Amino acid sequence: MTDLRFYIHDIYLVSGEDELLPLTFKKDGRWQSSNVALVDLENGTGACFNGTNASNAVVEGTYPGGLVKGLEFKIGVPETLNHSDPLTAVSPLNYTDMHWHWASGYKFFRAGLATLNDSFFIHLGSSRCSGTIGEIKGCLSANRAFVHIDRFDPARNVVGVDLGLLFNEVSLNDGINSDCQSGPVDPNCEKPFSRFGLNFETGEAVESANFFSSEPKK
Amino acid sequence: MRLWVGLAGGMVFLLVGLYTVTQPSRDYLWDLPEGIPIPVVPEDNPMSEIKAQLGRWLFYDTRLSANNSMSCGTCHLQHLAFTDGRRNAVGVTGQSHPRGSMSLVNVAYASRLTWANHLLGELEVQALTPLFGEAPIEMGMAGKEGVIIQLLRTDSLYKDLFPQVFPTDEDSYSLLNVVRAISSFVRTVISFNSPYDHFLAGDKDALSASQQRGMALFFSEKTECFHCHGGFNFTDSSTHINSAIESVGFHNNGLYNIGMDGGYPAGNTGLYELTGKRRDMGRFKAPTLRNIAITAPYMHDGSIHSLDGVLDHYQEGGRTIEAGAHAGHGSRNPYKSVFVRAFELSATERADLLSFLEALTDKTVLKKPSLSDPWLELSKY
Repeated sequence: MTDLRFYIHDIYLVSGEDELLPLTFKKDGRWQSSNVALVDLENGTGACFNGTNASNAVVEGTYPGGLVKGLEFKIGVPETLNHSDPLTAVSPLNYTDMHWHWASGYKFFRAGLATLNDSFFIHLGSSRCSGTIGEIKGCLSANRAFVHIDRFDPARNVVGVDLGLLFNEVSLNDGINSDCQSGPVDPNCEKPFSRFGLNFETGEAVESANFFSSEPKK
Repeated sequence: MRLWVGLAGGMVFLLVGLYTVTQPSRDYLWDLPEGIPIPVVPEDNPMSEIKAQLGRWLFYDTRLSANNSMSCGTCHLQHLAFTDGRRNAVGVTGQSHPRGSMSLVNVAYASRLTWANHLLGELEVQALTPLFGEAPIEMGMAGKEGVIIQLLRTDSLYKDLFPQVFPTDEDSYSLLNVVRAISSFVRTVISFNSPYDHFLAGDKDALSASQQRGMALFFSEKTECFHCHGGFNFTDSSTHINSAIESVGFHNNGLYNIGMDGGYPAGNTGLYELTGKRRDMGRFKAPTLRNIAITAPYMHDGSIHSLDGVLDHYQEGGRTIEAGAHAGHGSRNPYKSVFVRAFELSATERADLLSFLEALTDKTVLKKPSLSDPWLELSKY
């Protein structure tokens, strides 16, 4: 693994009556603002040498309470924040490696795998944007993935991320260092996008990203 | 309560783009000849002499790259009109950029920046890509912003200059101020002192007879050069404070036609890469032609090594590549600009056109002390 960092927002706990209970983020000035959190599952060591020493596997907040049977969240930065200036934004939206200065928004999700002579990385973010940076009018491909997990109880479960599933069918044996950078016509994105539950043509989330799961808390 | 994102069994897991035409930097004296309009400057980054000077130190500071080997000035060399003479720029890791370094001459007037990005209208934003971009890696500073801030706080020069240049900031040692200063410096790279400019100003001897004939050809419907390379800055992507409408142009000039359906080499498809619209295939910005005689090789990928070759390309209405992965008749590219059409030139006309292009070289900007590497001066003492 060479990288694994992503933003999440719009977190809901699913009640026993299928109600969506919003999670109110606890602002910590570092990993969470009031509406977006950065999950950082690399620690800058080994093959993740381009990463950061700090890591974060916790999202903290409050919800109305009651019986919970599932979890929902979105991957990425909300549209209202996605085109703000990263140089004046507050943490966690102020990291240069989580921003796509070229394409006007944030890298919602970055992950990579490598072997000795091959590699593949994914940088997910909105594409087909219009306007100019500072005055972006919108992006035709939002590319914000959606996650729904059944049988999730915050007291008993954690969320697992299965990179094996995400990178399934991506070749790490052809000797070519390749990547998917969310280009609207990048053929390398087709398979990873389907793992995110995204329609590659439209950028719409059509189903839950299938590589997240509920796992027992140890 | 807490939500945990953990490990699954075995699997480990801008800015003000609004141009303020009404608010030129009033206190800054632009070094412009009569008749040349003032560039547009973002309202939140007005020009000042001291800011441009700070930007000059930063522009040439190799400590702004991951291994201290490159500064902005590494790919933008003054004596080559702020290009680097390479087909493709090369970053700190040795990775080649798909495109060549563009000239920074008169970049203050550019309505869009880089070879092909409709989203990039401001130098302050553009500067972030060479500094922090990862694909390709240029200066390689992604995630290393802390190193830069530390440098600003501790270097004897920056420690004093930043609070002076940005006196109202609570903390002036910021990335925002780094790109603001660099952008201010780059806006001072102004070039209107070529023989062509002198000719326009009334010195009828500034251009030879051949150059004057070449000028007429350049601005003729026969060659159509001026449609994309027109105006005071020889590019249709120019904006200034008197522009009623921002002018932006991206063009397919028939450099490739892979598979006969308009294709360009993978990884270098121009605007198409960002929009995914087939009609944007091969659309790139027409660069300024000022100092063009000294900024070889040409085109976004440096694939034409001389101006003579460039004339061949346009004379044929596009380039034909006979064999190999890029084979195709560029002249028949379906997305080609209507202004790129084959034309015939006599040997004399060709020589005239070439000599006119040479008359766009401004020798002063190539040597102007205020644009040179100040660290070299410092090291003399």
